[in-house]
Amino acid sequence: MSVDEFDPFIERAFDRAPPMPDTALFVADLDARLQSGARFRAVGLGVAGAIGGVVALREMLTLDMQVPTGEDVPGAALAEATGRSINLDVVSAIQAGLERWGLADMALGGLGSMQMFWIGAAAVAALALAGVVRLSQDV
Amino acid sequence: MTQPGLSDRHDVELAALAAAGDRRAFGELVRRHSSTVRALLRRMGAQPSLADDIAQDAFILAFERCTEFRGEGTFAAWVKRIAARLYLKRREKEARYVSELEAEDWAIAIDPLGRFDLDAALQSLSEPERLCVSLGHGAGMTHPEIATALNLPLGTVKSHVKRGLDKLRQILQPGTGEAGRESHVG
Repeated sequence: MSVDEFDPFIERAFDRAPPMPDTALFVADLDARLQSGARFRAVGLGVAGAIGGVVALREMLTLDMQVPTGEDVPGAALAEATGRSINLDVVSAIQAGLERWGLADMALGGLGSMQMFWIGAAAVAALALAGVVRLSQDV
Repeated sequence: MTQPGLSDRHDVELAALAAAGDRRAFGELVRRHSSTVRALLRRMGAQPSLADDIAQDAFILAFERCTEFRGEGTFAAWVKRIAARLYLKRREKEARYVSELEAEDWAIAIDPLGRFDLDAALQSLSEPERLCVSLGHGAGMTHPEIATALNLPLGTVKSHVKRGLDKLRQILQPGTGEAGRESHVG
């Protein structure tokens, strides 16, 4: 066999791996790993969504709607009083919930909503960057 | 992981389905090619358990990057290259190279009929020769790619490949001893 013939001969030989007896187990293990990875990503996205939702809710509740107050707007005083009351009730409920989980100082503490937003965004960006770096190192 | 009809599909179709997140399609690809990938890693010198771990990592990476597979080469070749690179990285990280131990048992196990035995022949090569031949002829890497991956001069890689192939040719030459049974390979 010439050199030219031998190269493809060896390549074919490398391709001819006999089926491993535990292929089914290998496939099942791999599927379980893929499934757990998908679950982890789903939980991560869920947590990120929940945090974003809390921040958005807080932003919405503390938003100054700049509703004009005055004698010329019918029911303005009532609407303002009701809105303030609802706002207070919801904020109190969130505060109570956070206190129950020991997070009272986190969402409604000294940080402003914009600061929290940027901190959250920076954390997500850092995680994404770390993931990209890790992937690029793997291959 | 199997669904009716998947076994009839071409690798490229299955890869496209996998790229869209179809794990069952990807499972079919794994079923088809896992033995080849695992065998390559063992032929490169990885112990069976390590080879299986790396093969799993390679398939997971392939699943995550399935959109990058364009069908220009075969899917098996693409995954083998990923697996080979992962193994080299692991080897570099651990700064050691394990080639014996379970390898001999595995070679016997896959060749109960005494047919053409590439695995046994590879055992006669030195570690660098086996690595270079496996990377070039098993994983389909070019000599410059091997040189980069192993951090070796290109000329050294070519020498290792040539010497390795010469040794294999002597062992496997049809008509002389074991290689005379090459026609039984299936």
